Amino acid sequence: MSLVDALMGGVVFGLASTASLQLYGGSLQFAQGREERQQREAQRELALAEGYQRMADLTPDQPCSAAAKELAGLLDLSSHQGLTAQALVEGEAVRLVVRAPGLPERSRWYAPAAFGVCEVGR
Amino acid sequence: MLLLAFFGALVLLLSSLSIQTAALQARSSEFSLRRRRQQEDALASAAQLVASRLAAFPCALGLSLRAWIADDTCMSEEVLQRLSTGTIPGPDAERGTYLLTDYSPQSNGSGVIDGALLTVRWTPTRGRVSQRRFRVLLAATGSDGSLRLQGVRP
Repeated sequence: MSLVDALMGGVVFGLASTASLQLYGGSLQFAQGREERQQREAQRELALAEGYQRMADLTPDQPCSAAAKELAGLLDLSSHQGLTAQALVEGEAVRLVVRAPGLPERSRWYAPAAFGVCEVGR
Repeated sequence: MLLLAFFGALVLLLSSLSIQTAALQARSSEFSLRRRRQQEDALASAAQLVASRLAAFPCALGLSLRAWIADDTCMSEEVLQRLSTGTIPGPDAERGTYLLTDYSPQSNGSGVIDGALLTVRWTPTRGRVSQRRFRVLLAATGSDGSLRLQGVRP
């Protein structure tokens, strides 16, 4: 075994180890991030479903535009760990937007009229 | 010595590459799951919008979509068109269109209509068409037994 062989062997192994470590590191980082993203997504699912729960809290028999405003107020107050919930009133419905860090925005519409909790006009 | 180093390097690289491939597959499944969630959101929103418009027509709640089409005394053709198809307002407007494909009233054991099944189809501008059925809760109100919407749930 010559010195050149030993040196070349060391260089090849060293380069392979570095490349391999970088690949391992990238995969590990993704796996850790994935777990966090899944947790945040599960929390966001709960936050998005809150529109269904809050319908029961609305004052009955008011105009649907007023009911939508009331619903938006109830949804805006809701807080979930690390999430930002924003309720936007548009006409007689509410668009609930829930943002989570590192994830694309998700939104759902809720209409009090669909739950019979307001006075509907044609 | 050199052969051993090459062999060791190859083993290291191959094992890390297989881990990397698994991570890429996980990334791809995460992306498709994200797209599915967006479709679920669009379908849920569409069901809310359809039901909220339907609330203005108590005469239609106890009838099927076929009956609405066959007889326009409760709801005109133009109104039905506006009710059954459209886009979701906001940023989702450009993502696709929804269509009410079915509405079927359901009776309880004693023959009283207490709900309906509402089916909505979502056609995105990109991606697959998806469809979902929602349960509409109905209740009879007043002495005439006219129906009223009580909620829409997946």
